[in-house]
Amino acid sequence: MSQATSVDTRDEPVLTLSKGHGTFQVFSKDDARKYNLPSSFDTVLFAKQNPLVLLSVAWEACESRYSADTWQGFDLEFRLMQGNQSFEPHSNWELRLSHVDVTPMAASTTRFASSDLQSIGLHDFFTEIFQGLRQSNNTLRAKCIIPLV
Amino acid sequence: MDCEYVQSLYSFSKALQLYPGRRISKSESEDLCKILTSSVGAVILTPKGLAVAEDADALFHAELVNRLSIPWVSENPAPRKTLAIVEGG
Repeated sequence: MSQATSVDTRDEPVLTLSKGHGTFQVFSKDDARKYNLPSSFDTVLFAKQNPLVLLSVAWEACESRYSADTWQGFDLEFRLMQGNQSFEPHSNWELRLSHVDVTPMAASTTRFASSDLQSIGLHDFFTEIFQGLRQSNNTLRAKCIIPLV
Repeated sequence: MDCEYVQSLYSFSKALQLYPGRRISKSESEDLCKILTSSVGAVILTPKGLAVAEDADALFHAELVNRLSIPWVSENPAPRKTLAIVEGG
């Protein structure tokens, strides 16, 4: 199991995760500016492998600008914060979705093993996100579609 | 998907999967996991689409409206059906 501790100061990471491969840190919204993250930066997404990769994801509902009674859309924007140089997408990785603002972080983290994602398109989706981020100036945009009846 | 600015299209659904068919509320929309697991799929835009985001957004949404603004989800679970093939003698 990963160990997580939260630090409640502005200048310190709000979370440090450590596991066998190493340690990396999650920063507050204020610190997100250091990484040129979107102002709506709210959640980080972890892909664990060796080496670790840390992504930020910002999103907003996009359907309100258009007439869409039968679907709801969300704009997602992915940015690499760390680990972009040597990361190679692989079948064995794990996603951890965590809200930066929630304390303690460990309790709010949702984990997906890559095997859990194999049966649905999320695995291939994130694999392409990882690959694309290395080739597209570290930013990618995607849109999720939720069906409505 | 035959649409400019679209790089890839992914389905997150399995056969006969059920979706609640209701809108994600504002409070629920803070949960990325909720968004991903409620989605039937996602589209990744090309880097070109990012560079000209305003145009790409408008064009892409126009395509979605054109293609998805129909009742494309069944309100009731689809019943399984058995198909029998009889070979003639």
